Amino acid sequence: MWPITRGLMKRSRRTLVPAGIAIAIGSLFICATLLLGNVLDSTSTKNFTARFGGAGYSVSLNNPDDAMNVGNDGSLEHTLKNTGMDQVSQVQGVDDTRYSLEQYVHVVSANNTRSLTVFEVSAHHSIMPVELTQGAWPGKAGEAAIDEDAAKSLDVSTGDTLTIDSDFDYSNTESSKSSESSDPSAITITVTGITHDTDDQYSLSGGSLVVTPDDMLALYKQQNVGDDPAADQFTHSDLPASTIYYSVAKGADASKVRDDVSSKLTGAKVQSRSEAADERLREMNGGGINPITAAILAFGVLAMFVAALVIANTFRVLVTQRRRTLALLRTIGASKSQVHRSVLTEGTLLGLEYSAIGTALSCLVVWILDLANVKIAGSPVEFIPSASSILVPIVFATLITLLASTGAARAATMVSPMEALRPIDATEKRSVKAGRAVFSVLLLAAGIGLAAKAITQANHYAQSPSDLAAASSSAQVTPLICAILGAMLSFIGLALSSQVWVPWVLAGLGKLVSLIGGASGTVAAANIRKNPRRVAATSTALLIGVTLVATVATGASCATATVNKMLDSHYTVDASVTTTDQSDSALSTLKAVDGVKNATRIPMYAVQGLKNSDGLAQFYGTAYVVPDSAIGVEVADVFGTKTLKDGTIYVSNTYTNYLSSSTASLTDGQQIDLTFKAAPAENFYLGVYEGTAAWGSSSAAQEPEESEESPSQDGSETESSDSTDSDSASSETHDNSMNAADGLALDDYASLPSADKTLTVQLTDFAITSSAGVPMVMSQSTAKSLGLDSKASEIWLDLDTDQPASDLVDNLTKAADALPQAQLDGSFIMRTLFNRVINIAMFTLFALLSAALLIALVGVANTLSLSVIERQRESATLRAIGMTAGQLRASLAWEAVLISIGAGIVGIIVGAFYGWLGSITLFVGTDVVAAPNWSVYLGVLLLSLVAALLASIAPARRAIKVPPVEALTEAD
Amino acid sequence: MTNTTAPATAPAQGIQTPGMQPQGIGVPAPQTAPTAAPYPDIAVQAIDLVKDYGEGDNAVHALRHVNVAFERGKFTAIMGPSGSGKSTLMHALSGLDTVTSGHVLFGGQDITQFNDKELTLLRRTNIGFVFQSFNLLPMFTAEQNILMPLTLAGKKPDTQWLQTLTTQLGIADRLQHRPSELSGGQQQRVAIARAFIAHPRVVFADEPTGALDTISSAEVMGMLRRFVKEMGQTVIMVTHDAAAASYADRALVFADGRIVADVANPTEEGMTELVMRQRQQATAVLGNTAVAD
Repeated sequence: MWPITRGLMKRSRRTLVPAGIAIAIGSLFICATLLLGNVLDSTSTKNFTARFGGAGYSVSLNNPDDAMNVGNDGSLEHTLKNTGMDQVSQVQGVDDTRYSLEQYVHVVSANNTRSLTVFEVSAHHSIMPVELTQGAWPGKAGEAAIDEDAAKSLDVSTGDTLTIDSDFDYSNTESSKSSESSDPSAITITVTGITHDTDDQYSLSGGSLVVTPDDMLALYKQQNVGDDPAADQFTHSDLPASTIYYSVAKGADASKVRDDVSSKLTGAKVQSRSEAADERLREMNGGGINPITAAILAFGVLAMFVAALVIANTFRVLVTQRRRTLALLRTIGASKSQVHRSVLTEGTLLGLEYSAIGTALSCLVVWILDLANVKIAGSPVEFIPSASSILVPIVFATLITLLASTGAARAATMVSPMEALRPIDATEKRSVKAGRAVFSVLLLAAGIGLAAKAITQANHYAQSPSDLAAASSSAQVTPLICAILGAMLSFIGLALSSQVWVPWVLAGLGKLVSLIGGASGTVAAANIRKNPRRVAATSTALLIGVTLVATVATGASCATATVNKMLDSHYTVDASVTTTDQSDSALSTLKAVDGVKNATRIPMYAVQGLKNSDGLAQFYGTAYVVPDSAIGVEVADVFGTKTLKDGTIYVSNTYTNYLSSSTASLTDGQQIDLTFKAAPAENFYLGVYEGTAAWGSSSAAQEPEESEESPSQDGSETESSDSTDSDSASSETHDNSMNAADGLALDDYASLPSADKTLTVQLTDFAITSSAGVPMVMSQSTAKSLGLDSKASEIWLDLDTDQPASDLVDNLTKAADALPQAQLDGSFIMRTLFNRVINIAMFTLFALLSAALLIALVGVANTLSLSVIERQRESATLRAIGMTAGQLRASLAWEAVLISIGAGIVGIIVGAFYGWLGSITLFVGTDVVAAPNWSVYLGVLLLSLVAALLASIAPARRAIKVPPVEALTEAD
Repeated sequence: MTNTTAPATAPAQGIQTPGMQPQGIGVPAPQTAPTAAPYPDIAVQAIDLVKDYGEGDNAVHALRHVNVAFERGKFTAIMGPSGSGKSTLMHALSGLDTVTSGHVLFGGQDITQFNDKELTLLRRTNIGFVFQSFNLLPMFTAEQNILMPLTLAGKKPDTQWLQTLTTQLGIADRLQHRPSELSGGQQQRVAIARAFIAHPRVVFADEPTGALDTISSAEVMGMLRRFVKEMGQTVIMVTHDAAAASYADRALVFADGRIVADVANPTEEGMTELVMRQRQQATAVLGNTAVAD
């Protein structure tokens, strides 16, 4: 049978090319994912293995994380002595050893201070993780080699001295410019050498400092003698059992050395460099594959699934075309199983061939990226082929191809020998099996039911978020799980029943096409009607791709719309800039930015609202002085008037966020007593809250935190200065220290110009989250009546929101960065930042889905070319009775259009629903805005259309090339 | 329309049969000058047609310098054994296939110079086809099949003519059925209706009774003849069925790419005998030269 199979395969090579391309794309994707996963793993472990330096082996505790464990008596559980690790250096054959304990120290030079990571030099200076570029390694106590960048920032070179302190009290100082070490036990060292951190291991921890074991011991004692007085008597062997790296002497037997070392150890193990890396990798990946790789691989599996549809389709048609030949074979003696095996063999070989091509291509691409030093997400791409990265795609793709061809193989066995003797018109009018129809309806129903449940639950939670908070964690994710399951089941049901509804949908579209497409359209519509099974299979492949894209896009657009809505309720200003620069030049700089329509200075006052007899607790806030001209321009028109009323304080509805929950609420028209302070711009934030210190014992003080703050402190209406005195005392100490550090001394605050005023409350939708305390707005005349001169102000901007948001935000950020201590905030800014993040996520997902979508489009091309071959006789007849070549081309184009638009529209509708479903259950508890993503819908529809049209070109050309007469002659 | 009733006279150009003098009815002498009869209305004409397939030793000469003219309003049958070139001639005359050399004049125009589009338009408006295997489009109804040439031309159907045709053919009540729901004879009649719907100049029929039983064959042939006699249509039919040929006004016999006999008012027995004798002579004289059909 094999020669026959080979002969058959040779003839159908051309027909199978699209299916092969689908396989190649799928395996390319999977191979690339695995290769890049290897890069990810390698990068992750690099930092770990870089610690080895030049060492080949490490000695560490069986569980290295236990190294610093302290027992009940306060002493270390694992030391170098009790594990035997202090004997490693004595073992014959061990060349160099390095003790890897690291400590974080505060380093002071003549001009600067810095925090560094300190560790020991290795015994023979050979297996260091950093490279010595100048001078020498430390030889005795009081010497150290320092990292070159650290040396630069500390302004030291070889010969200079530093003091290092491992017990530094960081909480005591705010500024790193203080050049006094407050700890007298600091060690003085001389810099003997400069090092270079080749693998960039210590940059995040400030840089490295290499000392001798004696100094290491001294530093350890320094840090720990407070907790464990016994530490003062420690020798080096009493230090914690951190990993020791060792190298093997030249000529020594590495495995013998390893055994010798192991024999000295208790509770510790020896590992080679690669073993350690593997173990580390396993730990990081939770014992299996890197989770990122696994996630991306899921998309690869999806792509292969779509390819399976294309392959199954192709093989089915192939078998149909070969009916005559197969019947002949059966007549002359081929058994059913031989025929079956023949088709399967063809499938397997096809899978092997094209998956090998795809894998090879993928390797080539990654290799080229490696040579070109391309960086992905900051890390350079390396070509790291592993057995799994080559074998998995090939094996998987071949298996899928084999599985996909089983249906056709079975169909091949059902060709009866009689068909060789008389011509059979191969029309596949087989109706859908009843069982399959029922099953798919059940799935659909189940899916829709689950989705409905998810929707009702999500709605409920959205209306009453408190129920959500109260629900158990499993109850909280139920809507999401229902949604996911519902979507999956309903989609599978939809896919299985495609043979039923696809022809129906396409028939409807087909009528339209017949009307506008003339004869070509009529023929196209009729051809689709003729072969529902093949058309349904093609449409399903495209449906999967389009649905996924629509789901992702809709999820993103719902998220964006919801975020925007939420932001709008928190911001009524497009953008605001806080800066200590109060000059007019700052204002004009910002106004000059392209896209800024208007900018105004908004003076601010620190406000304290006094506790009153109505149960209103004391509160703190910021009062913005808004000129009437800014209403509707820089700030939204939320005050109910274009001229702010005198004597009124417009309080933001968000005030409840700044007060404890048990305070009484504000009402419109209420009169409240406020104290205004003109705090300076440098300390405005503190100026608001540090009123607590200044007002200390004179009024009940409380920390103005979020409303979750312990209600026990307030809530009672009476001014109980007794209970709060202690609070104020402790807060006073705390405040004192902060004030002292900031330069706003207690006395300074008290001396700030202030004014008391009683104003009428009007609640408003004004919101700004950059405010310190409750946001409030007052008119310019009200402010003038205070008699104060504000020392702080913000700049509010009115932006041209029609401009491309990204550029505008970037330009503003750049302009703001030029101003001292500037902070950029505002609805537009936040909105743009959020949208950016959402879009990046969306496009990343699109990129991952692109493989599946591409394969689906290949499937459309495939169907068209197969149908051309099937319809040679009819096409020839049409040509004979007067259909021009152009009309024939057009009919194929119309067919492509019908399939792609049909699948596209259904996919968009279904995908939009799933996307919305996912959003409301993922962001459960929020009122999610249903926002269709029209641009993506249109885009994917257009893409499918264009691709389908392009796909129809080659088949059309093939159809026309055959002269009418050739197909009319009786088939042989 | 003149009818030449004299036996053994073929209109216009004679038939070249160099080296072959088969006996039989109606073989004119070569190089016969045109008669003095009024110039007949020629529907389609072949001038020195040559059609070869392949090259060198494997070359197949399907048509060897064929010259023949077909009169309007006549029913002509082209007979011959398989591979004699009769179908090839028909394909060339109808513009379905190209020729290696020579000309085909269709209504005075040399269609061998036409490009694909012109040929297609020609077939759409001026030619009708009836095939052996009916070649109806299975996904359309009988009526849609019949009207297909007009649909392709974007023309509105002439309902009166459709009515006439379908009534004459006896399929008026089956118009909404799909081909799979019709018998062989009915399908062929639908095909005939399709062939005539656009009022073509010539209708080419390629073995129209090949797939039909005797009764249906007789029906179909009778209808074709009626169309020729009563409506003045021109039908050129290729057939190996002598009974079918007997319905024609004129029968040509093909062998090895040449016309070897030209008979007026053929009869079934006469044609059977002629073809048989032709075959005997061919196998005796020419051996096993491969021919194409």
